Amino acid sequence: MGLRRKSLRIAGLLGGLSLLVSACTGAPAPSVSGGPSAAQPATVRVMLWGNDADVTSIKDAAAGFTTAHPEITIEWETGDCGVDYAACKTLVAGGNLPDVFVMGSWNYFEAARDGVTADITDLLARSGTPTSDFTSTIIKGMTSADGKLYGLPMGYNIQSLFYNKAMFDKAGLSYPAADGSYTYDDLRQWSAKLTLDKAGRNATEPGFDAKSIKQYGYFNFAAGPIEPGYAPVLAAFGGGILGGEARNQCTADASGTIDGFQWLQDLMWKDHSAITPQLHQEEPGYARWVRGQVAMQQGSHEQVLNVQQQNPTLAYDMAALPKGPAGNATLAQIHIWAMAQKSEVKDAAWTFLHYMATDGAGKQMGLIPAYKDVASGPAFAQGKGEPAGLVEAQLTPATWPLTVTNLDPSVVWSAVSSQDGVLPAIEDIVMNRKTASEALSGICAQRIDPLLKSVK
Amino acid sequence: MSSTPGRTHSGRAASRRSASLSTRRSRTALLFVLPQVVGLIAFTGVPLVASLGYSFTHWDLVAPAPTFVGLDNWAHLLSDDRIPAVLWNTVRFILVGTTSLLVFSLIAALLTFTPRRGVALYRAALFLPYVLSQIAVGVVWRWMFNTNSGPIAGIWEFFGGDSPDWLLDPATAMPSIALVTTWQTIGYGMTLYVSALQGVPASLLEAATIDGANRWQRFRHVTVPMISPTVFFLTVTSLIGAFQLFDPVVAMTSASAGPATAGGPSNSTRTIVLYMYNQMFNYSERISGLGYAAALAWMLALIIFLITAAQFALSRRWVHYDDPVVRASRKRARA
Repeated sequence: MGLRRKSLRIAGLLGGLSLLVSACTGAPAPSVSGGPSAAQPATVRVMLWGNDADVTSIKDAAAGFTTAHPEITIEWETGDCGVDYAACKTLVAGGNLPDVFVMGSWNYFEAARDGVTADITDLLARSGTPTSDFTSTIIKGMTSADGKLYGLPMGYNIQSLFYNKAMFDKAGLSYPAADGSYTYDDLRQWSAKLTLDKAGRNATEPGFDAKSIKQYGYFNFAAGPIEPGYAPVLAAFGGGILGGEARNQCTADASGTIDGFQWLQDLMWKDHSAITPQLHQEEPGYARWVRGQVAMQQGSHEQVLNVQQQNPTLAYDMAALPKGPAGNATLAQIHIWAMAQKSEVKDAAWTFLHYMATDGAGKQMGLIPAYKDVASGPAFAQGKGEPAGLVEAQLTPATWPLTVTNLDPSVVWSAVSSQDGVLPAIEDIVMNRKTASEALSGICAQRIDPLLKSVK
Repeated sequence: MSSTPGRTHSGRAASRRSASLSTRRSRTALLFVLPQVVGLIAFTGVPLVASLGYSFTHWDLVAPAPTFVGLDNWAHLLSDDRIPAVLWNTVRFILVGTTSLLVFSLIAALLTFTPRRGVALYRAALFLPYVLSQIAVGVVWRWMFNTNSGPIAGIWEFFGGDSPDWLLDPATAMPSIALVTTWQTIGYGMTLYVSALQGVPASLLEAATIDGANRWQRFRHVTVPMISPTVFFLTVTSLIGAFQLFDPVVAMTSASAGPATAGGPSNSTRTIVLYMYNQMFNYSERISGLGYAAALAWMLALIIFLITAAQFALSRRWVHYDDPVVRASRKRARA
């Protein structure tokens, strides 16, 4: 009898546990249809990330939406979903994913593959907005192999060259051409001439003391080492970590990749004219450029905002990135308005998303708007305090044939760029432990290809 | 031995009263501990059982439900060639971190346990880092270790050496992190040691002195055995903590994307828990996600359990729980 009662208790406990576990694993997906139409009152939860200025810029852009659609209430939230996919995963598992959020291009396809974000292809077609209204490189990159879209662009970042005009003037150098009609060899020479030791000698002069540098020539985020830094250089040299239409073929040991990385290493360690990882760890290279310790840096439009906030008197301009052996290339990083597949207010969410990517486009997170010619107007190119070379440095490069995005259609980048993939080799290069050739030769067969095979 | 019925009856009644009182007391006690028990079941017991269940499934958190995969995760665990490397990194951390914690916190305790002017201030200063956030500490020490302007490089170069790239060199990154965690937890170890040192009976030390023992002999043969339970406790808890190392590694080694890129340079600081996080959230391999991470967690729990069990088994040889003064007084009382 006692044993039976004990068994019943255990069964009850296990039942309770299973109920709790099943409760924790999330409720069944709500029906896609049956949500309220845009004309019906609805509350849309929108999750944003970024600094205060980023969040404010989005809320300001949404002001027109609130006026046009009083029936839709926007409930703003801040959280990392979109910038860090791990945060999205926990929200999905907890059944708490917002209706609309901002995906980064780096995890846009992962969210689409997992069914986290809704396919908006038909919704866009029904809205009458053609895909040709968006910047071609951007919308093409966002379109999956089977022709589907899982969001609309909020805007994009382009890597350009920012330079300190006073330093160029003092060194007697002419400014880099805004259209990028100069080469990586030119940039290397300028970098050496703009690097000065405490005695005022530049890095090309005899007696230059590399241990007492007071002004550096160049900074690239490759010192991080992160992709937005090295990707444009590798592309211009005809390489890249991954290649192919689906970005799932290893090209990390191709000659273009090795040459590109070697160029970066030479500037840091041979010429002593670029910010090294040690210096970047001490104070980020971009901050050094803003305060006037570095002559040039490769960066995105956010540097304009940094100058405005931290050193408004800095005399600077920007130019498109230089030509490499393969041609001109840059990297576009896209921020994408996406909505949850499981949203229960899909019509209202779509109405908001569509507005923010079209009529509300511009001045969101300091990005280049990807809708029609908004980027040419006051929202970007004609904005106050923008440098003279803005259009040629930021808008034209989006049309270059070699321009790449960090979209990840095969959802492999996270593994490939990790400590199991190419990262230790890149660390060896930027720390000058190995030459690019030593670090990368054979890496595809030894490390990357097995990783590519192991992904879903 | 017989008893009268009346006495038996009253005896039973007293027994019933006593039992009833005991039951009431038990119920009251149960009510007091109930919130803790419920919390323990809900937030420890259920996740523990659930994680074991999940280790037999595949789930990336975004699929509607986990898929049962039997022993796939466990089989993969045995063939995963990254596990020995991450375990070796943890061992490297233990060799420096746990050893230095045990030694330096004892030294700190020996220097501060005697009541004298200003000693409380020293103790507070040594304990202060323990209450700081590990991420904040990691960020500060990232600068401290900088080769160009960090004070450690400055001290190193003052003595004529070329400072290593502490956090950027695979040979020095993990020992550097271990020393930071030692610096942060030294106050905790010191507090426990001070308490243990204050519990060493003065009479024993005096007896040893009368017997001709010098300072070292008193420390070695009286103090150390008396504080051995504290040494044991610290060894067990710091080893468990070492196996769970995560925050300092992320704070001091990640490039920009948090845990996804932490563990460098060249994989030299990737610990088992960081690897578990990567498998859970960052990797998109066929066998990854919550299921594989749960299997890794159970493997880690098993390792910790085995090491702790071994420590307990070995502790019989060197840990002395018996207080000789108390033992002697008990003997006297019995006599």
